[in-house]
Amino acid sequence: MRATCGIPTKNRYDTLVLTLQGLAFQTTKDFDIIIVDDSDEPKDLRDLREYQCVFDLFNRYGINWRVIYGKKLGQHHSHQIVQDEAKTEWIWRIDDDEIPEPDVLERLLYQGTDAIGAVGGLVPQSVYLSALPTDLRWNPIDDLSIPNIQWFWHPDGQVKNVEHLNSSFIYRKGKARYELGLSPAAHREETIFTHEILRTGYKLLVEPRAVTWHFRNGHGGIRSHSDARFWMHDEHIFSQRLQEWGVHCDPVYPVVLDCGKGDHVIVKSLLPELKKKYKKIVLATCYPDVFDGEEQISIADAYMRFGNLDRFNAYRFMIDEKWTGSLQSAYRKLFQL
Amino acid sequence: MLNGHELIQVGVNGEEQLVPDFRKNLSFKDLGNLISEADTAICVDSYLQHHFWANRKRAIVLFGVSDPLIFGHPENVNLLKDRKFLRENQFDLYYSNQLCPEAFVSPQEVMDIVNKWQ
Repeated sequence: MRATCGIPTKNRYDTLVLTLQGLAFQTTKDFDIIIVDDSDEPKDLRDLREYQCVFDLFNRYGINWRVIYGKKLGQHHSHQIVQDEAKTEWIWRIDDDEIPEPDVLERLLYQGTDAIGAVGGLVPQSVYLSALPTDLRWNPIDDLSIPNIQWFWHPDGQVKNVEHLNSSFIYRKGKARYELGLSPAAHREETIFTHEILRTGYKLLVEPRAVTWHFRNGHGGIRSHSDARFWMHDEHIFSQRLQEWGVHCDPVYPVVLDCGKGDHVIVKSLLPELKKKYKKIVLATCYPDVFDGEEQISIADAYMRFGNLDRFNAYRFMIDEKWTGSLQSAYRKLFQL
Repeated sequence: MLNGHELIQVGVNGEEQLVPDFRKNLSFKDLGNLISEADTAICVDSYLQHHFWANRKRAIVLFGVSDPLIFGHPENVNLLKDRKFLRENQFDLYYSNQLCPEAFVSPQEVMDIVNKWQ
């Protein structure tokens, strides 16, 4: 069963070549590659020595490849280009800072039976991945504050049904379209896309033995976009989709303290009011000792769950508002207390 | 200055010891315990002033280039020499343009506050 591998890329020629090398060494070579290059200053990859090497490997293995230049509208547009161009039933999407283990495509395709719409593997953000907590719900669409099970090692090795997928996965062509109304940051694009596939009657699976390492390039890709309004815009679109789908979500309020210890102390004084106003709070901190006894996540975890964090930053807020009041009152306004 | 009071310096490794009782690298909890036993603190605009405020203890806080109307608490005694020293962008990175010794009140002015308080 031949597949198409689609890779949107933007300003990441340094890591893209590692991804391509990972593709060349897949145990199955029965796939084509479409690279959608959205870089600000695109290069002809055939002129770059390291790319010549992997293209030679593709040619030797019978892997067809081509490059299409993107529309500069975000990776969701690039993914849709891949879907429109692909001639195969299955499309494997992978990011330009991810490196698949050699058996990933084979394992994912093996799970792609008639009832299945998409299959993702693990996409660990670090080689030091922790075990899947036993009490974790498996990617429910009604609570995206819950960590994605694709970020953990699964001791049971069992395939699991989920309600949305993240990052890299195979999907059945033509069952859903990417949401092109999202901003260039394309926040929640894969969540919306995969859940749409689920809603057409297909199942979504996570195959934990298929591991794609996500080495999160600090530049390029969605990190080319720093405007916090993009993320707010995309969250709004996502909320609308949830309403259309009839999915009820208890509001989850992120309190992200990517700031100094004094700020932590001030916010701690507001915690009773925050808990009263918001049913569920996700508290991300730099100084967990200040909130001893409270459930907390790290700032890195917050980034993984919520994307760009500027919209939660009180200093960003005070700069934008030309704030002259007290720091505590700024936090109150930011938290809408 | 002591006038029957105990003077304790808190800080971290690498800082200059100024008084015999120098307690370094205290945890948040241990510092909280110390604050609850203390009468006041003399500090610059730092995390310590917020910790005293959160413990409902009044601190004497020296401000230089940061604005006490933004970063201070009215419950503390906020000492600002002159607003002309306040940096233009109050929300810039904390460590940029901070070193400005002439922006602070003199030690004698701090002592006058302490003496009035006693």
